[in-house]
Amino acid sequence: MSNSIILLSIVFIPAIGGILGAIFLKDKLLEKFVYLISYIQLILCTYIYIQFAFFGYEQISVLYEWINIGKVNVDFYIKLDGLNAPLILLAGILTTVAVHASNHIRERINEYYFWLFLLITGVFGVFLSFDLILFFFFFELEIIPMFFLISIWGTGRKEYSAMKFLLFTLSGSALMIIGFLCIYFSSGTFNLDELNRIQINWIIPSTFVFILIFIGFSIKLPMWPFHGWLPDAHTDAPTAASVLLAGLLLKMGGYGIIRICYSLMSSDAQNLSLIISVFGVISVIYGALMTLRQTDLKRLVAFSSVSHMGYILIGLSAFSSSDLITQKLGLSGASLQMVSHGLITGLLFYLVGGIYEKCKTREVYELGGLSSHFKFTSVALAISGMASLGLPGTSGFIAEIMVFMGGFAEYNILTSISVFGVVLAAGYILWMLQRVIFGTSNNDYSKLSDLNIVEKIPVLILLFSILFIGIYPRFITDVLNIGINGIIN
Amino acid sequence: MLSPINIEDIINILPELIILFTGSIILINGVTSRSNKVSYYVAISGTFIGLITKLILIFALYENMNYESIFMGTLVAGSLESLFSLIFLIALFVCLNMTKYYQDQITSFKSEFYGLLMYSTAGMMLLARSNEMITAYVSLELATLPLIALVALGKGKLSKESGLKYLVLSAVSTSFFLLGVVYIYALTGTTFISSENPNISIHYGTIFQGISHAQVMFPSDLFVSVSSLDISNIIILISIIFIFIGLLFKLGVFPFHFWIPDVYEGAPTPITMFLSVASKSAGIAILLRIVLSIFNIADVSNTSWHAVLNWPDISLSIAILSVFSMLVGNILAINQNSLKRMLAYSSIAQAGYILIGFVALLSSSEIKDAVYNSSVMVAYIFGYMFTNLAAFYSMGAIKQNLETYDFNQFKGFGRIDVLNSFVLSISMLSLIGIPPTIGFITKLFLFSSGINSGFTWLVIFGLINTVISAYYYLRIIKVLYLEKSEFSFDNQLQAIKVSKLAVLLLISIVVFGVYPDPIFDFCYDAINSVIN
Repeated sequence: MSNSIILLSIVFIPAIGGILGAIFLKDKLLEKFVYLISYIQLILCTYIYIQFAFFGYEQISVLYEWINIGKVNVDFYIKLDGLNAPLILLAGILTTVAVHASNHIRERINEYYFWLFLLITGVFGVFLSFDLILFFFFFELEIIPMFFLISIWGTGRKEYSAMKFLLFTLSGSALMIIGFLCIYFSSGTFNLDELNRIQINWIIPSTFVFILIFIGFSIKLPMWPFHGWLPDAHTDAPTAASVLLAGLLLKMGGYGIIRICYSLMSSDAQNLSLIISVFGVISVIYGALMTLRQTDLKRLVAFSSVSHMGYILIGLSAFSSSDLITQKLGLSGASLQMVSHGLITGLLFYLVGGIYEKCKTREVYELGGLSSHFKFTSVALAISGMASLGLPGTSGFIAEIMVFMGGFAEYNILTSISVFGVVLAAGYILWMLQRVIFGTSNNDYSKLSDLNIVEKIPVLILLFSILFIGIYPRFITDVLNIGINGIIN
Repeated sequence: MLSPINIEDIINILPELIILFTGSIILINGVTSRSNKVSYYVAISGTFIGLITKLILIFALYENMNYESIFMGTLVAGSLESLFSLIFLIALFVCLNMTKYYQDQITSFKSEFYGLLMYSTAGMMLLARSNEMITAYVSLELATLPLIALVALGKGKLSKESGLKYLVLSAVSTSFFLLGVVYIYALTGTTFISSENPNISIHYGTIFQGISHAQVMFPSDLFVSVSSLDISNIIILISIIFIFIGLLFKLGVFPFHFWIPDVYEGAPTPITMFLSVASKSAGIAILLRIVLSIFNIADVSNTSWHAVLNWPDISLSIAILSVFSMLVGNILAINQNSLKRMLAYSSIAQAGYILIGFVALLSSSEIKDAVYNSSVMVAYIFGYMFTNLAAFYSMGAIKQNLETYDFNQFKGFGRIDVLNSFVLSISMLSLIGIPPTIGFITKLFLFSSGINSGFTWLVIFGLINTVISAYYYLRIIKVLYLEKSEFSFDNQLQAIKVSKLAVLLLISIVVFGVYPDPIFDFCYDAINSVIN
């Protein structure tokens, strides 16, 4: 099979599988079918990543003509390069995790898997598309499935959270599309390759376009003043949706900033990087302080995401440096942070979801002493917690150290402040672990059992990936460097 | 001077003739036998034959995409008018199909109902292709007058009231239109819009040529003190404003939107659908013909072409109308509980979006841009047609079971009437503009035309309104799928019919949403054949 066909099927297998499964299959058969789809997806993603990483970094692309109105050309153009290949691998892993996390869903499962797989197609499409309109198409495609996943299968104030998520995201994409159209009418093409090659004659100031698109993506990221939707949406979403939301949807923001804002408007990115850094520091510290106050496990993980996504902005701010090494370090650090945070938070949400299923509560004060009965969960939670606070040996450490090195060379004071985010992270993670895993239990867990074999598989996959990247980061960073080189030049 | 009518002219307006002929047969049948079944089937088959004829004409005769003037220059035959005729005929077909379910909502004059509907459609088809102001006026009346009767043909006081309202207001608006035409005739001595036939420009001249030869300097800004103007300037200004008022009334944009909610609510639902799709498109069709004929003779690359042609630059005023239409439509729609009334307000907002296309067209600085801007607008109207037909059709089907338009009663209905609820939800998503629906891609390009012409602020307004509108459109979906029903439906439900037409509309929304190229291509070629 040729690589481009594999690339095409990575985008469309989830959607087609979801539609067919939802229409033709029922109950048990459907559950088996979705496992099949998710593992096919995982295998294809791994295959294509290895194909890319170990066989000469050959770019794999698919190009069809899509819409053609006179002079306006929109292509169906998807391409795998160094920047999105690690994210594709991440998405493949988290697809499997999300399907595993869904096996407690009992009501309306046909609809559930339909929306879940449509969402996954949207995510893969965003990461792979190299045409602005196609990018926007997939970016918008993911909104409605997430709305339904939260509002039907969620918990708590689910409808409020879903609507909040939707309105925030729609506002973001409204700003974004104006920016995209301005880019088009300044350059005459939507094709990102072409845009990188040519000189753009801006019809309106490029700083304005940069800010529009940047705000659009930073709502998704989420950056500090626009993070309002995130805690609610994460907390009330079902586990699988939380995994995808934290693991992949937030990354769409960071990826979009690098792919579009930074590569097309690099001079504005350099001019504004002090502001970006300031917002990054605020996100890190504010997010960490807010996390300290949370007693709901899921809310705690959600707020910690705000803090960790702030590191991405600090890494990005290194772009203003005149030193090429610093630039590379910052951008690869930011990209690696996306991958690493996706894995770690995915695991945390998965475990918290499992605990909630078993113990029926997520309150830190009501839990306690889990280690006596849930040995596997406790160990996994401890390791992922350590990874989240950036312990050496885990992927979190590598990503954060790269971000700090890049950021410190450029804005030493701001970066020094943001390092305190790690200290605060140690505070809330250790406090959480101490309360939940150790201590004495208020409840009787003796009748409850730990995760079974099927439920353990995604935990093992994620733990392996976190430690593997922590020990051998070149597996990802070599590939990322190829992508970053393309952006910087 | 002009060539007499020949057989080709007759062939070109065959679809209109078929529709008119069918309408007459139905009316005669209504008087003589009063058999509704016969009338219905005659109407359906007549529409079907008309549609087929139209399609054959499009593919057979217009392959070279040339514009021809027929009937001594009063009508044109080309692909743009075919495109609009297609919209009217599809709307008529869906409307007739829907009437089947609405027998109890219409008074006993059922044959007349079908007959008048056919007449109105024929009027719209003629309006879309008229090349002469008086013909346009007659076609406008032929399209509107039957609609007034149709609005009033529903049962109940509300329908009669809205019929009267529609009568008075459309009489006023068409008289504005006529007054504008008369002024222009007084000034220029001609009523021809464009000159496909060279004989027209030799012997009569078009109104725009007449206006440009009026030998007065025209200020490029509309808002200038009237005292400084020459008398013929004032006449040009007034007549153009009057013509626009008459036609913008059809579109139902802000300040001419007051009839929309009441009339839409009072009319029988098939007629509401017909009003919102066909009648609106008819207004756009003639407006587009007029505006495109300016671009036919204007040298737009010259920045002072407005002064050369004595044509006022009205794009800013239209932009303001667009902003207010979007705001009024969307904000008033939020508080509605009746789905029908909500769709009425949403159609005001949609008219505002369409006006963005008009603004972009009016201020294009290159012929290529003008072609692009207007073709994406026509494509938007095409998408709007599919979406609105699907929305009204599925709303009608749901109403049949629940006997109410109040969507708070739809709670949990998505689990019971799966298909119709799904069609309704998808059409709501298409109205917001969310992929993979046709509403997304056409709206995207509509907004792109706004930025193309430098109206970025207007597009920002449009996008803000899109976010506002998402709130109330999604409420329908929320009620259908997320809320638990308070009572059991089982005992009071009629057998839920799975309508093939609804499925067809759904498929077109999604398929053209993913692969819109055929629509964009068709629109682009059609517009390209007009301006050149």
